[in-house]
Amino acid sequence: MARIALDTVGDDDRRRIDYLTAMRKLWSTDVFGRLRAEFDALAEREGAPATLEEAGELVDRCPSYGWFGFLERGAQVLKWRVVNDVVERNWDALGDDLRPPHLSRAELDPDLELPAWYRDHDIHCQPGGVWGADASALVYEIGTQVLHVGRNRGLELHRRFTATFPGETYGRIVDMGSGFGKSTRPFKERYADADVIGIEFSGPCVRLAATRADDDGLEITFRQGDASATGLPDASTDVVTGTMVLHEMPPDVLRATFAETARILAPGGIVRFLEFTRTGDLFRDAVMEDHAWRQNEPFMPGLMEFDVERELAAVGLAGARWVPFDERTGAELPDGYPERAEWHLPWAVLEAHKPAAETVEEGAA
Amino acid sequence: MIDIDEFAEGPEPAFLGSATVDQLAAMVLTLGMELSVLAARVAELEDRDPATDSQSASSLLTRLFANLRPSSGHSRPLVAERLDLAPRA
Repeated sequence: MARIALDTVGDDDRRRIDYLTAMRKLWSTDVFGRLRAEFDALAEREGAPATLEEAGELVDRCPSYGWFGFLERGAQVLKWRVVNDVVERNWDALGDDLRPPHLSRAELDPDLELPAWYRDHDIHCQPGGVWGADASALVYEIGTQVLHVGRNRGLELHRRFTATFPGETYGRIVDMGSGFGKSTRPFKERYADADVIGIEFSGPCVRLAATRADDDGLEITFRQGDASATGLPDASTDVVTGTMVLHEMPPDVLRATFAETARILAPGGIVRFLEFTRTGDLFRDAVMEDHAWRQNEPFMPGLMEFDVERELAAVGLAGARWVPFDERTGAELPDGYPERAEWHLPWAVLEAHKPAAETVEEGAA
Repeated sequence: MIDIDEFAEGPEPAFLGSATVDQLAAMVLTLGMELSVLAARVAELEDRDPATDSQSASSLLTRLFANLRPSSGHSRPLVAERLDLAPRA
């Protein structure tokens, strides 16, 4: 496993990160537990909410909700400040992580115009986004390692997701929104013979992804581009995947990305995105709704509302469904989410497939 | 390198009643972070394990939060409920 930028931080920066991690833990366990108890007490006294809106109104009245929201946003804002300082102080050493790759390929497109919906807000509250400067990718990489509660150090979560793919071999795998390659590398690890391609808007992320893959001895193509217009040939791909990317897209871009997915998939190919969905627990879903704006993810509620079965069928993809996913173990949860005391993101796999050619013909007949 | 201040000057949402209170609370949390750095340095100088020391980041933060969290106002009915107290007339 290649080193990551986080491994290079000094003692004091490590202590700051420990503090942020402790803050996150307190927030997701103690504060969330209080919030849940307050919500349940209110619901018992005034009647359980029947809709997401009613649950949202009830959550808003819980005494701990202000603190819950403040600590979520505050930890995030403070994290970027700390990490930005770390990268700035260590730039002489860390800048080398953006060197031209040897084994992998970084296909940069200096003429690519980033769309306004992507540029105009700083996703996850990261100042300047993941694309604003060369250092942005490194800041992003460290940031993803700092505040994840649970077992998500390095590539663990992504390896668990990759392990759920049904095929023994694939010809080509495309990872939409591949970032710095954290979600992409496990595919090449498991499917060594596959042609693995990452599509990513951010040039700095594409460069860092290729370097990290190089360090791990993995030959992957990272292409700077648009997931809704990849430029890949029709019916050329066995798998289209992505991790935490769909919820960053507005609805029209989501539709275009699904259409592009259907276009590049070969008949019989599969779609599996690791994302978030509603849990059916109105309390958690109401908190998650607000999580979106606390984290500067304005399109997340739109994905939650998206009728995936209808929308994916409209572009020729069948069997669309959400399957809840336990990020701690990698288990799929067809019966829904188990009760958990702590706050967790409602991970789920959006899966579908492109019908095999004979199925299409039968359907057409 | 991104000039973080250039991006961080926009209005932040208020969670604790007003933007001013949020700013103050953010300052306290930042101060807590720097104190945790100092506390860990002192623990190391005194040959104590910073991870298990009473001045560790997590214990410092727990105490910080316990003191910051509101204990009156609209939380009173729930506290009364928990303690099985009759509301005052």
